[in-house]
Amino acid sequence: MKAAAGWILLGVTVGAFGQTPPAGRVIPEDHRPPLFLRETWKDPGVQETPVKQEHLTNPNLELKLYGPGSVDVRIVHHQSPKDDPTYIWSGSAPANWALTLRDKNNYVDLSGPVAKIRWRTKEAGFHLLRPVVKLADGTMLVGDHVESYTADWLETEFSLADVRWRSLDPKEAVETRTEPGWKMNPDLSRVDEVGFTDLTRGSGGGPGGGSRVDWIEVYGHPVPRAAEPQRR
Amino acid sequence: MKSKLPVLFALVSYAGLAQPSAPARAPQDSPENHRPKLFFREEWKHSGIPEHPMSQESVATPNLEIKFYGEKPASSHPDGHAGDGGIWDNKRAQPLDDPSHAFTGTCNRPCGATFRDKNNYVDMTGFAKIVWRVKTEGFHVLRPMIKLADGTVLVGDHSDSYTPDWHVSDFTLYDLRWRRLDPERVVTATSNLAGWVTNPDLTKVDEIGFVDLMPGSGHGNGGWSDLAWMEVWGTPVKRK
Repeated sequence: MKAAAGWILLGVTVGAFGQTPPAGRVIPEDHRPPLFLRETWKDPGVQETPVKQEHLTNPNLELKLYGPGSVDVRIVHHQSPKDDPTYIWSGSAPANWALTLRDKNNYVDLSGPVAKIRWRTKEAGFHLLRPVVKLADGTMLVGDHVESYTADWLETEFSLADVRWRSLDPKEAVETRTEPGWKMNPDLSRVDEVGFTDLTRGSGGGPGGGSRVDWIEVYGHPVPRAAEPQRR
Repeated sequence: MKSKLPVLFALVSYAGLAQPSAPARAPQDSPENHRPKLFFREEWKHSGIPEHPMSQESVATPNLEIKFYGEKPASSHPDGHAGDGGIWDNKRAQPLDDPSHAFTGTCNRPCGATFRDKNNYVDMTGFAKIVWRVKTEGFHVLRPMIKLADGTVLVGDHSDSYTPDWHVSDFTLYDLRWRRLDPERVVTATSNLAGWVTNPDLTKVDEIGFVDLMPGSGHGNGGWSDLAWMEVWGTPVKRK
């Protein structure tokens, strides 16, 4: 009897672990999106210069800059330290700014729980780096995920499903005053541009206050722009 | 031999207990027994005009001077907002319990304000603290800002961020890490002044206030910091 009970327990246990999901149920983790874009920036050949389209390594991407006036966000590479990466730096920005990347051929589907952004960053002062997305309908959003001061470069990864969003005014690169509050459940199924901002100005040359981004990766399913519904 | 062991053990134990007791120590005088008193509380003297640039007229405490950093309060367009700038002094008809408050949404560049007691520095060491009632919108964060007797201006790593309603926040300056602030541009100072300032001398603080390191979104509810009142608990140190 004792031996029989053991076999029954084993059978129940195996049965529980061996369950298969109901037919048709999609397990998000089984469909993790591929790398949609990775941008590491070209070595500018000088210590620092305003970032331009020509500094992108990925030919499919377009650089977009937002903010008042002529946005002065730079691409930097120092000779020392030896492992200094080529990176975007906002310390030079005299006013608010945002930087995004746009794939020429595809939107990106960042909906679902496993679409994510990875980036390597280093913040100075009290600057806080945040993700930015531009949706297919032109809405720009800035997220509540932040990277804050670290003494060294830091790689982080976050799911966009965890992020809460607010409207971003692309002209001033501030939260949109006419659209306050959280933007709950935005449609991230067709994201036009992905990038970042720290919503403030830089401290100027040196390590006083600014944001640095060595590289950014976006994991999401491409959605061909050709599939975009015809607009009348 | 075996039978003598318990007796020996008892004697040793008794000797241990019977040692002359150490002199009674004076009761420990805890720092909590000497909490500093309220140095000032400022809750604004509102003019009755719902929204207007803040000025010395906005300060209710006669001994306090207000100092503005960054963009100065301004309104050059009475019928519009194009020329509005700096910190404003607001108290609207609605909500009914809207307090008089400082508002940074009109700061086109980062801005802050401090209070300076005309007669005293303030010792902000030990259990000295700030209590304030604040409300921020968007991703704005409000931080403490101080000016030391030697002129150094610092901004602290305490921050109050978005809450849907007003809230009171209480923090001890002893816990904070500081960075130098460029008082002209209201950014964390750079070059050789960048980095954490460890153990600043808080025994003679000249000015104490608040700063939002992000430009505001303008009038409305986009992004700003509001401060309804501020208390500073510290020991006065007479100015010579």
